[in-house]
Amino acid sequence: MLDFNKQATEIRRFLLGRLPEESAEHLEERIFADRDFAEEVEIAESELIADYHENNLGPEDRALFERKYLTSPANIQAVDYESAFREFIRGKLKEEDPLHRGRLGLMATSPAGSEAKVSPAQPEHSKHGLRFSWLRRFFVTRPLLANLTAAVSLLLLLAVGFWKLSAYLTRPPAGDPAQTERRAIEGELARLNTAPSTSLQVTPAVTVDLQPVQRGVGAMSRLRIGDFNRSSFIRLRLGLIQSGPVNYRAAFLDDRRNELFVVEDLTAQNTPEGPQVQLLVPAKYFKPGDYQISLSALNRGGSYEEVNSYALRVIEAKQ
Amino acid sequence: MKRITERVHSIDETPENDFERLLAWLGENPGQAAEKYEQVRQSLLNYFRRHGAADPPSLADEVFVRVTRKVGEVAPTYVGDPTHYFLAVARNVLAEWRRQPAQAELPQDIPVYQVPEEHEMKELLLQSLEQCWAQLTPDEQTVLLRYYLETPSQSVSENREQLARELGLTVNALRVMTHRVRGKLRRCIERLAARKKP
Repeated sequence: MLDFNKQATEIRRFLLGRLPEESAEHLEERIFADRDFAEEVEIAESELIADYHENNLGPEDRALFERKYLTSPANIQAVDYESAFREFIRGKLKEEDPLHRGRLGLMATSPAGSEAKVSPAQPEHSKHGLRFSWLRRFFVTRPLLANLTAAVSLLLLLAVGFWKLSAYLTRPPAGDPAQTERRAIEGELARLNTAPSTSLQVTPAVTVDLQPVQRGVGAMSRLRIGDFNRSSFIRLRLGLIQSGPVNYRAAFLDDRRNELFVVEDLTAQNTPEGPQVQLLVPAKYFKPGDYQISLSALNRGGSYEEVNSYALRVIEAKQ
Repeated sequence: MKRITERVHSIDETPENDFERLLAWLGENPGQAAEKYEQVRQSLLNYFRRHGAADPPSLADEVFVRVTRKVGEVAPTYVGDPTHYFLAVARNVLAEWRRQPAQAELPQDIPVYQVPEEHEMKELLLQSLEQCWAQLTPDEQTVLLRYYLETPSQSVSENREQLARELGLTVNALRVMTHRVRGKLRRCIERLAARKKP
């Protein structure tokens, strides 16, 4: 079994399109000629896709990955397959605990030269015999106390079990793919809006000034986005009537008031146009439609209170 | 392989000989040749996919058709690994494909805006995974589950190290083994998908 660990970095750079052309061609020739190396590149690729889904790629690598893997049907299929496989495995892990599946036997698919080594299980009765003798003595010498203790313990166990079950049934599913993707989007927005170096490197294609919505007054602000500028960024400037040295939170809602994603830890800035909260959002997250942005401020109690609401209509633009 | 021979049959007068020559060029015996054929085919599919081709199987077929047509004149005097020739032809095929007018591609929707068809495809894929999962041996299933297991007390990588120790493998060997079991799943899903096509 060959170990290509030393070439892991070069393979990843190749997959992301970061290798110089000559090096990439040389690597491709090796893929065709060396079966083990071709397999290693396949493994590295599935790990790269997994890292993307787990939000483990840096901003540059993520951008390169999306440019390469989310722009052709065949690559998108590969990315989607990895996502579906991971969801499938998560579902299986919820159904059963693989640690209690029993011992692994010899694997017919083990790589050449290696076999599974299995240690024999210890007889169960010999382990338990010595361990619980004190419990037997307790029940024999003090039967009334022992039975009372057992009854109280059982009631306590039932109460805890019922509470845990209701908590489990009412929590959002951990493996929900929409939730996973939302977390990835919010992670990207957090990096974009709270890391100074990241936001400084981004040049927004469009800046939109939004004023708080007042009932019956004013028209909805409009933003035109087309396919030609979907890879760019939008700067939103949310006007404030007054501001303070607090953290703000912007929640993006669709026209049915479903919360799409949230950007936290925003701060207000004083500008010639008055106090504003500014944030950057990738244009790809805006499909045509009406949006509401709910801006909340962190109060002394540690919770967010809405201070303003903004409306935005996104229109498809043709180049 | 049948698809390649059918296409070659429609063009050449002695296609069967050319295809036999191709296999002979790939391996000294039929078993070796078939294995090498599959290896080259997979490499071609990955090559075209990684270069953003919309339909890698069609382009891979095109490479095989062209090489098969030329094998009579190329193979006798070719020095070196035949896979290099396949790659050279693949580069030409890719360059020709790129020169064709580009088809419009829609940007990928984020999940909150999933169109019903995408969701249905995912459901079909999950159903296929369920079907193919049942065809794995219990040990193969256990290895896959434990490979992706994360517990409160152990991270994914710690679990993998423990699993590798139990199996008497290095972590890298376990990684390769898992990939091959996943490959078994993937091939099963592709067979199911091929059966469902009209």
